[in-house]
Amino acid sequence: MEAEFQRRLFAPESSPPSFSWYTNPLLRRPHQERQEQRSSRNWLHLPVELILIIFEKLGAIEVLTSVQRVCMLWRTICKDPYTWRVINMRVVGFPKFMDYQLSSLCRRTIERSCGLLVDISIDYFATEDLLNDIANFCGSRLRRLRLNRCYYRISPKVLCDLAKKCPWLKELDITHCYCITPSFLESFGQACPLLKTFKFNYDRPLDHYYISSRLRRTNNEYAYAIARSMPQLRRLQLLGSTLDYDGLHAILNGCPHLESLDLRHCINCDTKREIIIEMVQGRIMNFRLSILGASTIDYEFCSLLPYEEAMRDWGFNALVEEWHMFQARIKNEKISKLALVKYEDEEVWEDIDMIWVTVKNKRRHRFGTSIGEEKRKRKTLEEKPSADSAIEASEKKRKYHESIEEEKQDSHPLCEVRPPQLSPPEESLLRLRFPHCTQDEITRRLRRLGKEPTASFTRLPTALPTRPSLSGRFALSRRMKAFLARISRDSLLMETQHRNIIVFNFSGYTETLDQKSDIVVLEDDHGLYAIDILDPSLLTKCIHLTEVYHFHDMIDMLVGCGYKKGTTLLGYGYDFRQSNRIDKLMDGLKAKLLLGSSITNKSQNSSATSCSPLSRGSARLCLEVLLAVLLEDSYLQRSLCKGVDD
Amino acid sequence: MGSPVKKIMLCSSEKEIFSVEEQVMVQHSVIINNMIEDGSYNHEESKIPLDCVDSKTLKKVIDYCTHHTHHHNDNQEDLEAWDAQFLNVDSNGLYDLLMAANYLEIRNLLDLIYGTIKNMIKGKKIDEIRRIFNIKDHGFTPEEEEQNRKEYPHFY
Repeated sequence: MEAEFQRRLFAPESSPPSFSWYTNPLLRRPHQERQEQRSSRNWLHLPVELILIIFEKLGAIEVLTSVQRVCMLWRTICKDPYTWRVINMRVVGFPKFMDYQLSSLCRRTIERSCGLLVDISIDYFATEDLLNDIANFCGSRLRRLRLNRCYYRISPKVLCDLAKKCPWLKELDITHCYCITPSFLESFGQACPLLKTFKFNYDRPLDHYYISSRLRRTNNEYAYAIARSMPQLRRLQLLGSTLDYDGLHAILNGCPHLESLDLRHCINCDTKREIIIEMVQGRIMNFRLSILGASTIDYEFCSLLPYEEAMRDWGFNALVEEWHMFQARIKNEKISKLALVKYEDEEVWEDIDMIWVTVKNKRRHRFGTSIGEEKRKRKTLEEKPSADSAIEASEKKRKYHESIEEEKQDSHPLCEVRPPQLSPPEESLLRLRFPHCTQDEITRRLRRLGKEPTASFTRLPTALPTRPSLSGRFALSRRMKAFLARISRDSLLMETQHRNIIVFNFSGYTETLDQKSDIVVLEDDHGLYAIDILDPSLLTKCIHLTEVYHFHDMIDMLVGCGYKKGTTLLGYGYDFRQSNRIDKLMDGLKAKLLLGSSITNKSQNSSATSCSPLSRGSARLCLEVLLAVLLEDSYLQRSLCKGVDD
Repeated sequence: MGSPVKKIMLCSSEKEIFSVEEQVMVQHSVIINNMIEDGSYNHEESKIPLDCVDSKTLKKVIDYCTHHTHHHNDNQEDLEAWDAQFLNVDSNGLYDLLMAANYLEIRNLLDLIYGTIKNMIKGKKIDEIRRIFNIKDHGFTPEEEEQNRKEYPHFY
């Protein structure tokens, strides 16, 4: 063939054609040859390129079983490594007979490809050994990997190893592989930085009842993992995923090059369709919305997703109606959430409630009669204006606390040494751990521990709140209201060592918060102290009472990642009772953000270090408002994701 | 649109000349599109010689291109039905069509033909495939063939 090529290329043309014609001389055979062939029309004389395309369309299984035994020429082609650059072992529908050892067949093709493999599609028969083989034989060239319907057969670890050996991977399709975890996705994304196309479709069995239960189960972790680790994505297909608006938002932020996005049957994502359309307009050329009953004709795995089948079986109209009701309910819930921001705070307060009891008992025990004195001193100090700037304020406060510490040491030598009996806090901790215990049970437990219940405990049964039961969201809200309303003028200033100063009233009647008394959140440890552990006492740390950890784990994690307290990691505590002094609060937050911003700018804008103010509870709202004001600062945009994690 | 429809001349291997609307061929055939674009085709005098396409096949190819240009707004089912009817030819005719489509680089037609060939092979026994494609000399030695038949009887 090559000789023929040379001859045609260099032979003088008898009559030069009037146009440039032969782009591929191998494909364009001379007239005479074709004349001879036409009589027989021998399919064996088909150009090899065309045979290759036909083989590719047939799929590797068909080729390896029957086609390669049809004739010698086809067998030769089948033995060529070049034929196996693309291995398509998709099994459409149910295989006719299962006696092929598909897995070993696949291994043979991989061996035949001699490492030239760039594109492989495997179906349900993938095993971990096979994947290891792929990674070892041809990982260095692999561009496209499709692993479909592997359900639970493959462990994420094997896939991770595979990813590490395939740095050029551009397209990954792991449809119907349910063993994937978000953390795996993240490490995969980091191992394959060139990933352009990602398909991760779900269709779990779904019936009439499943729709309703599934609606409430939103899982954005996968979306967040994609957003964090695959910034180069162009095409993303997430059929039937459980992400909702937040997840989508994260993906749109994390993958700026996205061109095509397929979110059909992501039933959680439907609530804010207008917003989604607005966000997506102009950016993504091909966007498939998550409308119920969207057509899946072009979805290769089945013509009907289980939802659609369910729809058919159970009466479409009734279901659609139910669906709309659910949507409406969710929408209302979300609106109420946005308007009041009370649920989150309640959860925080549930904890604070507990801790208050702990602290109160401890306090009584430790300071006895001196609380009154302290309170007076503190009040005089607190009333000084301290609105200059957050840094100054924190400076002042630190000094002030130091002075208090000194005072304590002077006047109460017992403060340094822990009092020998720990029973009151221990009771409270037992309460924390076993919230549904009756008092008798607690007493019994204490006795078993060798402790006698103290008088203080029995005197305070009404003040001890119990954990809310399952039905307790609204009950809790009423209780919390009562609890908050008890804040009053002649309140007792209580400080949980270095935590928030909680204004509390023993008298039991309700009154509004006095304008004179000030609620201050401590700024120690660059503001991290207030949000680290809700009850930062030694006892809590010793027994690792994780129930009162708030941001502790996150802070640990960030510090472990290389963030430095005070330069790249700042906190800003928030007490919900400050909400009636929101301006001051906002000033503080603004100062904190600007402080972080200036520090980051000073450290030469290296994009790796970003400053992360961690904020607690409803401060998210403040942060968002502030961001709206200062959005031009790119630093703030970056901090958004980190600050709003709660 | 006022100007008369531009025509081009195609000459089959039997020297029969077919006159086609330029738009039709340009839209479907990559090779003719390239020719028209780089100006190597002169509308007044030259005709395009398609030496390895006979008249019968060329007529079919022109049919295909014309139909798909003028009816591309039809619904999908009608088009598919027409395609099925169009490809209802024997294996020799299919072979010619494949070669012609490959020669002229008509992508849609190529895909269509590949699909048909795939369906002809898929799920068939080896003997059937040999018969369909008229493969008489398979090139295996008798011993090899015998062994294969013994080992994989369900493929034959």
